[in-house]
Amino acid sequence: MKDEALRIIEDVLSKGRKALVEYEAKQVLKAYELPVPNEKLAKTLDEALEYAKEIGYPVVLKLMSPQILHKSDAKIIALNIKNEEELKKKWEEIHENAKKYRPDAEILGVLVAPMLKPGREVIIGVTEDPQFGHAIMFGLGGIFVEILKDVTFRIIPIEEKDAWAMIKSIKGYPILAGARGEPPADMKALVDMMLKVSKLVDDLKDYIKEMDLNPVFVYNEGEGAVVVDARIILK
Amino acid sequence: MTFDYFFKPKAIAVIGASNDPLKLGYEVFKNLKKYKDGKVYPVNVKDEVVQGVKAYKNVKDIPDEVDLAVIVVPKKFVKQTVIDCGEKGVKGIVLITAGFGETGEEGKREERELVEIAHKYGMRIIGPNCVGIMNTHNDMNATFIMDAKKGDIAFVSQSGALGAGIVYKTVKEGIGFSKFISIGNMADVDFSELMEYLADDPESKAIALYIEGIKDGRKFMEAAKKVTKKKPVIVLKAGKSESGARAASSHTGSLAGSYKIYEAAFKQTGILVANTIDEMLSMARAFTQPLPKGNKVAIMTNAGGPGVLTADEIDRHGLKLANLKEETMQKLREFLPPMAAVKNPVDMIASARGEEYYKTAKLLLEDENVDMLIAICVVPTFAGMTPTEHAEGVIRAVKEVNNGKPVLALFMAGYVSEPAKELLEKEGIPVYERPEDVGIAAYALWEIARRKNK
Repeated sequence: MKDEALRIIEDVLSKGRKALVEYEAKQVLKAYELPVPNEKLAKTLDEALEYAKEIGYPVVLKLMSPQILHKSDAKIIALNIKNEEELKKKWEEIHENAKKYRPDAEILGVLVAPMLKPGREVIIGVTEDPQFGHAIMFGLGGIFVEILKDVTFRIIPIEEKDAWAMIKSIKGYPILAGARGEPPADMKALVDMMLKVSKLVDDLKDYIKEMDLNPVFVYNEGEGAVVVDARIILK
Repeated sequence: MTFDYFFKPKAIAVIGASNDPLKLGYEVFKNLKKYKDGKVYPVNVKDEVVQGVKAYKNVKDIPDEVDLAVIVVPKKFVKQTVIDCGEKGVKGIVLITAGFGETGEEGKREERELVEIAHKYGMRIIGPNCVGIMNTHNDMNATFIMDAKKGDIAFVSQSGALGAGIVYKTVKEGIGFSKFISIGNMADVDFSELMEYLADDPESKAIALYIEGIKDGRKFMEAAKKVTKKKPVIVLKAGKSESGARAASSHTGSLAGSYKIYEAAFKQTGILVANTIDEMLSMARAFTQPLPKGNKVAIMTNAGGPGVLTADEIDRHGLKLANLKEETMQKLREFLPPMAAVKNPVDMIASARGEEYYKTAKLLLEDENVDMLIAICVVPTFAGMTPTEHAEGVIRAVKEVNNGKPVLALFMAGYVSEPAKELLEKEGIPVYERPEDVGIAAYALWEIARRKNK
């Protein structure tokens, strides 16, 4: 777990970088058995086509560049690609957009990912406090976090009861518990993820400064959750 | 026990004790002259006698062993005084003198040096830049402010002046402290260590902390985890408004203001968080009562308004109004007037006298659907009622039933309630003046009970 995550982190540090791109961040999460989609980094268009076939259409392309952390601002994500023709077109498009956004952008490859079915969006994050050290954050994604700032924190490491208390303490809890006839979300999966994040950060506290798993899609009870996008900032 | 030399010293030296009422050393020695459990020696470089007591030029001249030294000398003499204390074999120092860490880097360095010297001699320091410490249970007032009322709450304040203000406020409101500790700059002894000492202090039923900032968050959390298993800790933290605009590259970092992190640490360690001074005191006072078995509250009142307002507060804090048993309501109907409401909240209406308070409180406490009782009274000044008969009725019922259910009182008649309040407080029944105060007190009892049951 730790060794595999450290290998990725050391590799990024050796290149003089402090921020992991999504692909690298997800590799670190994967090392701690956090649920990430079945996705692959393609270096060439041919590789991308091959991976897309493996994963099955529709797919998503996300261009990975250490210089571009705000992928949607730079328009380097292409969603819901249904076939090879479209993939070829989008491949060109996101590369052009990257060049326009940051002419000096180094391109590590393109992440080929399955088009995920939408779930309820949550955010799990980590920050470091000068007095208390690392803290984990939980909240609902989208407007809940952006506008209402409906989030809650606990100091790492957390216990299972802390994770449950976090989920239940946000104002938007009824949305997860199942409001307006919706079935409840898989909160057990969220608790499991929070505990894994806590363990990961506790193990790697000398390296990690901040972290966002945003968004995480959580599905109905028993159907799990998945990290859609992730960012890790090193010290 | 550790720190007994601070709170139960056999002998105290007041270094800088003075005959000049304009000096802090005058007040400190005057206050300590009342100390019951040991001797108090004034130390003054010039005067032979201080406030009628033989004084010594140096702490080392005192013929007796000295546990505790209260230092109120000018800053330039502090270092030598600390060394003298070390050579004398003093164990604890309360350093009132200011001008250290609070003034900047040089002051911080001097402060660290003092702590190093103290540790070399095996001494511990509370302060510097503090008001001092009190133990009301042995009349030890080692501060330059007036006495706190004797009681059950240990109060630790990081602000000396606010601490003094709260001491005076609580005296006026009849709220008692077991200990008052102004910890000043926390150069040595900090919240964590004091909390651990107070956790085992039989004179303190709850610990209230006013916090501005903690240096070592992890140490605080470890101490708090242990302490909250033994007794309730209530924190009022200043600095909520500090924005989350911390330089951060992540979303999470930008959302994490320092208060949010403090709050997280408090919640995680079982600390009750107060938003105001009154909330802190209201919660801390509740713990003279036993913990409830559940969250079902019965309210009895002689006025509708206060009953409804209290019911609102109960609901806001996640407690429930108890569904009274049919049998209880039946019995209430037998002696209450027809206009009375026998459903919870039980409104006995304004004609209720001490006897009705007694009977109602008894029935409600005996009802197995009730976990906690709130007795409300707007003390009537008419129909020949005495100002204390309602309180007396409640007390009689509590003593008779004596089944371990907590009882809180809300007496909302300003100065008219005073005699009744005094009576209830003497019996250890906390009395509040506002629905929001009794509401949060009920919440605090239930919250601690709930955590214990887990």
